[in-house]
Amino acid sequence: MLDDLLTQVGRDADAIPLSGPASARQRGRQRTRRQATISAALAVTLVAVGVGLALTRPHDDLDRTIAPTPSAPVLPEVGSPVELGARPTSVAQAAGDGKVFSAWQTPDGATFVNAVDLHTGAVLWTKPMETTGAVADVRLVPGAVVIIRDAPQGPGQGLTVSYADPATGQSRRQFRVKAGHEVSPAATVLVDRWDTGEVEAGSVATGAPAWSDTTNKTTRVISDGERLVQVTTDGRLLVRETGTGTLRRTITPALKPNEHGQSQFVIAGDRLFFDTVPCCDGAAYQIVSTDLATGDSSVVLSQGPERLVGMTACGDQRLCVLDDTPQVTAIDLGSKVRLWQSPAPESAGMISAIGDSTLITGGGPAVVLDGGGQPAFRAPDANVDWLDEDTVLMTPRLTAGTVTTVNIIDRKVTRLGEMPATIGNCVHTTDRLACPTATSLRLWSLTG
Amino acid sequence: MTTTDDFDNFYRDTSRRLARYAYGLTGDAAEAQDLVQEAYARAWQRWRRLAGYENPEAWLRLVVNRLAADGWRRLGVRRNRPAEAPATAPPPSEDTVLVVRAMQTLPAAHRRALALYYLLDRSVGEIAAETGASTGTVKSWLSRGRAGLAAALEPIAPKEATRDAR
Repeated sequence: MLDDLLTQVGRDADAIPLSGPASARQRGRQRTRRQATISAALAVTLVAVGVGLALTRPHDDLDRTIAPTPSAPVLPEVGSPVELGARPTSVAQAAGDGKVFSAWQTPDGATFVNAVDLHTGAVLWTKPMETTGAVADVRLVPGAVVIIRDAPQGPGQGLTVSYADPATGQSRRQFRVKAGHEVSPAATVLVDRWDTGEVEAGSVATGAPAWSDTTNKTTRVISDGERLVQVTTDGRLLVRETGTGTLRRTITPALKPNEHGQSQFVIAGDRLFFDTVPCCDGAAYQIVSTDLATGDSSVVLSQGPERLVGMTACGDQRLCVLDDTPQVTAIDLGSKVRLWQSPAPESAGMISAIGDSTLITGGGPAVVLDGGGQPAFRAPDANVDWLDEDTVLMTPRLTAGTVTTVNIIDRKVTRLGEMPATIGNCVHTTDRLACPTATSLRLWSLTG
Repeated sequence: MTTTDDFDNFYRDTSRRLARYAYGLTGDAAEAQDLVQEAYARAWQRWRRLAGYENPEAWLRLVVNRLAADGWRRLGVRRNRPAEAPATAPPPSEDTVLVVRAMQTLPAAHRRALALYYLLDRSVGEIAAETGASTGTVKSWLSRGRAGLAAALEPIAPKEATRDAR
């Protein structure tokens, strides 16, 4: 039904009359002329007031927008580009344990996976994969690299999850997962929640079921590695050991999660956080914090009628919550007091933190808020991620451009060099940046 | 082929998709119409550079994102409407009005993901590459966006499993 409705929206959008390219060109020329006029006027004005501003402007550039300038040197490459022959139809990468692992599908449907040494750039191994399917993700679990692909029949038909030896690329196990299932890859098992609510963990060693739960109908499975939380349809949280399925605790949280697994769940340390809307449109959303070790559970935030976008632990005993106001609210988990609220960019879709600093990103500008909720800096349309506790890495979005680091303590901006346009998400460590481009996989140094 | 021809071909190849996207984001045909023309006007200003981009269409969507988020038209920035302005859009169906109104209640990230997935047939991987998010995050946006839509449309679209991106 929803599919049909959205198809109808597309059809109605197709009936919107457009002015045509000539009109767009004319409007573009008008913009250029207008901007030229404004620039000339501004130049005169700025000369007049520039000296005064330099003397009186406080040295407070916390909220400045940082725009990299296009005059940096070329980013130093590590090793040689791994040529792909043709533009891959899908690609994903993951970095860890001194290597970057890449999986890609070629236009003729073949899929490959390789490992490159992050230090030298040397290709350690390259393996063709047994079956086809667009690459959806590459993940690392202890002792294995996991490649997740759409089923050979195409997206929406399920997934193929392959475990390989990170040292040699040797295939260890391949699982087929049906459409509508939720999977959680772990070191020794692949946990598969069926759309009917059963949970089965397949052993990576044997391929046979390691454990299963067909009694407690489950709407979500969330794992942080060795620990797995099953969210049941009646709102309980079952805490298990992921590898063995041993049940450690059953918790009834302060409020039930939303139906159909639509709450967002975040595990941080021993706490599990989720959002829920207890009743109706316009009701506040509630954030429930549950201690997975003791079972203590309480509501730490009630706010709305806006809706949650994301949340993250942001310092000792703190949770930062992004909603679609859009704003970020920091909560002290001990006292449940709101420490601060700060506006976020309209396009905000993701929130992450290192220490008590918070990074808000999305399809537009990115903002870093310091531990007091004050903007530490704002970046224009760029991909921004944490490099380390004090530094963020900015890479160009969609186009070739400059790779920049920004120290959020002293606001120092360092232009590292130019990189070409990418065709997928890059991955990085503190000293390396790996990206897929149209014809090759590239690896650069972030430390010169 | 001239630069103008290149641009005109690009416009003809991509403008319908951009209109779908802009309509999905704004829920207003006139606003979508205007955002599309503004995005192409900006594209023409820097066409030489843009033509060399790996994915100039994604750049256009970025412009539309920003203009839509800024409430560009509502702020009255729109002006100099050309004499050859297009006809008014025909009224959308009743269901479409309800759906686009419901989409406006969603967070921008969810709305954008739904528009890319359902109106432009982009895969989860492609949406992840375009937004800089992980595929898991995109799936979460789609899942929560669908749930939000279903809740807002409950009388006409009972909760149900739809295209599964999880």
